[in-house]
Amino acid sequence: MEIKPGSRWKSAVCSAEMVVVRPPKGSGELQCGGVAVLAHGSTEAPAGAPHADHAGGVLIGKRYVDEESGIEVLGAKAGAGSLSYDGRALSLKEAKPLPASD
Amino acid sequence: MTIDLLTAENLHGILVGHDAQGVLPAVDADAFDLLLTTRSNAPRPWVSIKAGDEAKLIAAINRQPRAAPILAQVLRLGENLDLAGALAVESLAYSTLLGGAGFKTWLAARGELATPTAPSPLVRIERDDNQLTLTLSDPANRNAMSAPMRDALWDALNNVLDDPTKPSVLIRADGACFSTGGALWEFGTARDLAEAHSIRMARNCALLIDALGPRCSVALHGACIGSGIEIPAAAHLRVARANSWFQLPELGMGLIPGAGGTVTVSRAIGRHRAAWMMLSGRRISAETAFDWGLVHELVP
Repeated sequence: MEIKPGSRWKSAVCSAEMVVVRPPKGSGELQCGGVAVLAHGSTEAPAGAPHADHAGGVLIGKRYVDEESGIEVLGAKAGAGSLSYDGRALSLKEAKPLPASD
Repeated sequence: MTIDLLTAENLHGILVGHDAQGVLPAVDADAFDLLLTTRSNAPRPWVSIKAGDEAKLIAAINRQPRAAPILAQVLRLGENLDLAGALAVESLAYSTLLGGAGFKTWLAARGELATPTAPSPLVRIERDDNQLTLTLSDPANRNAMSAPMRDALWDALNNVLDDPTKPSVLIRADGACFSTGGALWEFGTARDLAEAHSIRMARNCALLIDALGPRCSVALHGACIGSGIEIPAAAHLRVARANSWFQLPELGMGLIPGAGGTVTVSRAIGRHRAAWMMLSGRRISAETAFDWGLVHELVP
C-alpha cells in the first residue's frame, strides 16, 4: 500500500472515503473499520461491517491523524468505520477552541 | 473650476467631498475619504445620496470622533499593503477601539446578554466528488459569527486549503439569512486585547478564503451584516439572492469592521464606497451591491 499525499482511498467495510494529506513515515497499512482500505478507483465494493472496536465513524471534511507515523487523512465521504494505521486508531484533529476576540 | 462645485468638509480629519449639484466634477479622489453626489447611479468612487443623507452621515461620524478617523486611516493604510498586512492593521485598530470609550458606552447600553445554545455542528460539511459545500447551520441565532462558528469555519477552510486534491468550496447558510455577523453576547468578553489581536490573526477566515482563490465561492441571502459580509467578500466568486442586504454597523458600536472587512470590502467596492458603508452604517441593497461589485451575480 503506497500512501502518497493526494491519494484517495475507500473503506472496504463502509461508505467512508478519504484523501491523504500527509503520508506516513515508512510503510504501513491504512485501515477503516479495522480492515485495510481499498484504492478509490478499485472496483471492489465495500462489504461486511466495521469491527466493533473501529466503528467511531469518519466525517466529511474532518482531519484524522496518527502522531506516531505522521499520517494525516481527510474524510471525503462519511462512513460508520473509524480510521486506524497499523492498528492504531487515528484521532480527530480540530482547531483548538479559542475565545472570542471582541 | 472643479473645487467650487464640490463642498469639502473635514470631520475629525476625514475629508468628505459633496457634489450637491450632481455634476460629478473632476476631483483628486485620493485626497478624499468619501465622495458624495446627488447624481443618481454615479460611477465609482462616488456614492449617490438623497437629501438628508449627508447630514445623517456627519452625525454618525460626530458620534464616534475616535473610531471614525481610525477607520479612515485603516482604509488608507490597507490600500498599500498585502492582504495579511492590511488585516493586521485592521486588527490592531480593532483592539485599540475595544479599549475605547465609544465601545464602553455601546456595551453599557447593550446590557447583559445570555449565551444561547448552539447546535452541533455549527458548520455542516458536504462533499460531492471534488466540490465541498460548507453550510453555516445555526439559523436560530441567524448564523452569528460566534467564536465557535468562527473556529468551525476556519477549521473547515483550513482543511480544504490543505487538501492535495484541491477541491472547490462553496460557502452558504441555512435559515433566513447568511449571517448577522459577530455574536452580540460575546462583545465585551475579550479582556486581553493583545490576545484578541493574536486570535483574530490566527483564526482569520478571510485570509484562508483569499488563499483558496478561484476555488472558493459564496452564496449569500437575506441579512449579511458585519462579518457576515466581511468574510464572504474575500471570496473569488460572490453570488447573492435578490433578498440579500448588506450592512457594516460597527462604527455605531465605537468599533470598525474587524473580520477583514476594511480590506475585503474595500478591495471589492473601492475605499470610498467602503468608507460610506462603514461610516454611515447604512444598508446596501442587493442591486446596489451588484452595481458596486460587492457581489458578482444576482439570482432570484
